[in-house]
Amino acid sequence: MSAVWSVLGQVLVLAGAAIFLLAAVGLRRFADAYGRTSAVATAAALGVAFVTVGAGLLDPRPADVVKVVLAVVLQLLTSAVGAIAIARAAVNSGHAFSDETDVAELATPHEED
Amino acid sequence: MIAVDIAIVGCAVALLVSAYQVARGPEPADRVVAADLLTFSLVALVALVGTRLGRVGTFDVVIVATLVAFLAAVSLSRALTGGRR
Amino acid sequence: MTRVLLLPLRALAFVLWFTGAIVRSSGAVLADIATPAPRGAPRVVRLPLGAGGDAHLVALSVCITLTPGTLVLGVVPDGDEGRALLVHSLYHPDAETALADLRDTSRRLRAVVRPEGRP
Repeated sequence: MSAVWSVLGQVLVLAGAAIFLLAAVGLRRFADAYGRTSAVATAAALGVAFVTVGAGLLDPRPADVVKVVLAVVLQLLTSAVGAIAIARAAVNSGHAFSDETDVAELATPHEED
Repeated sequence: MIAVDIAIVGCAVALLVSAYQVARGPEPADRVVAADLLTFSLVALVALVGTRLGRVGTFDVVIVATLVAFLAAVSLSRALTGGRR
Repeated sequence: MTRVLLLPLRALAFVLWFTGAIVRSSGAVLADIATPAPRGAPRVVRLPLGAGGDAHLVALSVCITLTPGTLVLGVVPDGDEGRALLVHSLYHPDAETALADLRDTSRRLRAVVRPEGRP
C-alpha cells in the first residue's frame, strides 16, 4: 500500500514541477502583465498544491495530514487573492494592456475604492 | 527519491527564470508578477528539499512561507500603485 | 434541515465540477504555451452581480482567478445597489461566451449555499 502512495507522490511532485516550468515559460511568452498574472496565479496555486501533497505522500507522517490540507487550502486562497491584488494594482497604476486586448468595457468611467 | 531530485531542479529553473524576469522588467507590473512566481517557486522548493532531507516540520515551514508569499504579493501590489489604495 | 445536512455533499460536488473546469480550460493555455505563435483574444468583460453578498463575491473572484485564462481585475459599482466584476479573459472567442461561462460558475457557486433558488 505504501508503494502506491509513493508512486502517486512521485507523480504529483513531478506534475507540480512541470506546472512551475510551464508558468516560467508563460512568464516569458504572454504579451502583457495581465496574461502573466493569470498564468502565474493558476500555475502557482496548482503547482504548490501538487508539490505539497506529493511531498506529504512521499514522507508520510500522520501528524502532517492536517498541515498538508491546511497548506493547500491556504495556498489556493492566498495565491488567488494575491493575484487579484496585483492585477487591480496594475490597472489602477495605469499599466497598459497588450494591443490586441479588447478593453471597451474598461473604458467606461468607474471608481474603484 | 529521484523524482524529488528532478522536481527540485524543475522548481529551481522556474525560480531562476522568474529572478531573471524580475531583473529584466521592463515595466514595474512585469517585475511584480515575476516576483510573485519567485516566491511561489521558493515555497515549492521548501516543501521538496524538506522532504528530500526527511526533516520533521517541513510543512510548518510551508504554511508560514505560503502566508509570507501572500503578504509579499499584497505589499508589492501596494508598492505598484505608489502607496495609494 | 436536509438543506443544511447536504451542504458538504453540494460543496464536494462543486469542487469536483470546478476541478473538471480547471482541466478543461488548461487545454487552451497549454496549447498557447506549447506552440510558437501566440493565440487567443484577450478581452476585459464586465460581469454584473446584482446585489449579491460579500462572501459570494469573494468566493467567485477566487474561483475565476484560479481558472486558467481568466483573472479578476477589480470590483466596480453597477447601477444603484449592485456591483460588477471586471474580468480579464484570454481565450474566450467573444464576450458572450466569456460571460456565459462566468455566469455558470456564479450560478453553481450560489447553488451550494442556496439550492433550487430558495432564499
